[in-house]
Amino acid sequence: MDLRKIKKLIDLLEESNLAELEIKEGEEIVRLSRYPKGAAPVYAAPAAVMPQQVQAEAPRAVAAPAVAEAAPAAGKDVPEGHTVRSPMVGTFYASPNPEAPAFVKVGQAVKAGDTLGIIEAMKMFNQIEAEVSGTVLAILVQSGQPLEYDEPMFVIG
Amino acid sequence: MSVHPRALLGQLAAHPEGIAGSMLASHFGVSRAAIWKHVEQLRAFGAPIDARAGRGYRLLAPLDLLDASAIRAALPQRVAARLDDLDVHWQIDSTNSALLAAAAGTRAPLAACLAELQSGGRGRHGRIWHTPLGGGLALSLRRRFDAGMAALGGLSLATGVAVVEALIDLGIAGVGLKWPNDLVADGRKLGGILIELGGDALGPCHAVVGIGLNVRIARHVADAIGQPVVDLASLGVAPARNALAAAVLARLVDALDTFQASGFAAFAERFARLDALRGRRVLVTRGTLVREGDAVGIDERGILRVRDGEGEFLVDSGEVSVRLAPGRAS
Repeated sequence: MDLRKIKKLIDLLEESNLAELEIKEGEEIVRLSRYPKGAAPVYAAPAAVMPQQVQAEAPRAVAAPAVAEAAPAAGKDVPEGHTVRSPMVGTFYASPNPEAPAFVKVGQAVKAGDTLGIIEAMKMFNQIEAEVSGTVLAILVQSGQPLEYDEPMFVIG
Repeated sequence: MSVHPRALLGQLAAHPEGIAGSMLASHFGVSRAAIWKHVEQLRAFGAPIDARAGRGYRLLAPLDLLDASAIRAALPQRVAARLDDLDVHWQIDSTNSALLAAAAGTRAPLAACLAELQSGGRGRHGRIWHTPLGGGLALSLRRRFDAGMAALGGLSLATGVAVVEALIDLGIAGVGLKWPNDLVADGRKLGGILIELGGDALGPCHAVVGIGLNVRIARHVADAIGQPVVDLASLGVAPARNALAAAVLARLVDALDTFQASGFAAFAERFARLDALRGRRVLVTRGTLVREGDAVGIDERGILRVRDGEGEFLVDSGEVSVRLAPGRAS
């Protein structure tokens, strides 16, 4: 992930009412936090040394509390910062097929009803739709990742 | 004037001895060149049309085309009465997509959609599902469910059970189910199931159950599909497609009622009897990790149980693909 992209993410975070923002892209993770006050510490964690399975599990453990903090702040005070959660246990797919581009990218504008991704379980495909219109502020899941019920997937603001 | 491909086929069927291009041209009010273009297109879709100078166009084998009223007439009355919509399209991107798209604007609890040709029929991960003209059955049924999507686990397995039972109703035996959603016979693929969900994830939602079945697939088409396939014709019986559609719909409507009332539990035993993987060596792929083991059946939720040297593990979702291990495939 290059510096321009991280700068863009910082701008996104500042424009939003989120406390934290975490982005996973392949093996890279960037987490931005508003705390401590006045500063937005940035750290990029290359996860290349982690074995595959750990990689899939570990970021989830980090992602969940981050969003739990962000969601109430966004949900109550401002209509933006809406968290889209997984309605079922299954596997997340970011695109309609492996060759196709992802349904959405961070920073992209979406309308309510637009497809954000697909969850599959035992060959049932559930298209995850944006419940609100806005901008995709965060994508908290990776294509191919197993999902638990109610797991946060997207933040739209 | 335009020529509907189905009407053109109807004219060809009405003249089994052959009909001149000029006759067809005047019937449809178009040029002979236009007729030729339409015939070429039908041939590209797999219609067996012979074209010879002096003899005109001729259908080499009767085509078994879908007809909504024939399907309705073959349905049991209790099912026909509840099926609000039953649409047969000539060509459509996907019968599943049509029902999903129409779901928002209707309160109809049950709707069915079939198509002669699917240009965008999908399988898992967006793979193209091949349906040659008259050679397959592409059928989707949409039903409302009230308990939310999480309650629909195992629906693809229950659907498979319903389809196999419909085939048994038609006298076709020897069809099994390969978890989670393939219909197989003699180790080859006969059909597949694709379910798509929409609506409120936690409340009233709808499931669109899509079924693709090979009825009569020419050898050269089968060879091009890239995996071993089998059709109903080579299993001994090739039912008329309208009768097949009605039999599948009748079983499916009943099965979805049962699923709404009792969930997958009502199907676990029936699936177990049809389980084509049980006792077979399988490869379970998760990303780049592959684990090999013996399929030992499913649990009460429909989740696949596999046993290897380290014990039993459960396979419940789509990052996992199950394949017969090499050397053991039949």
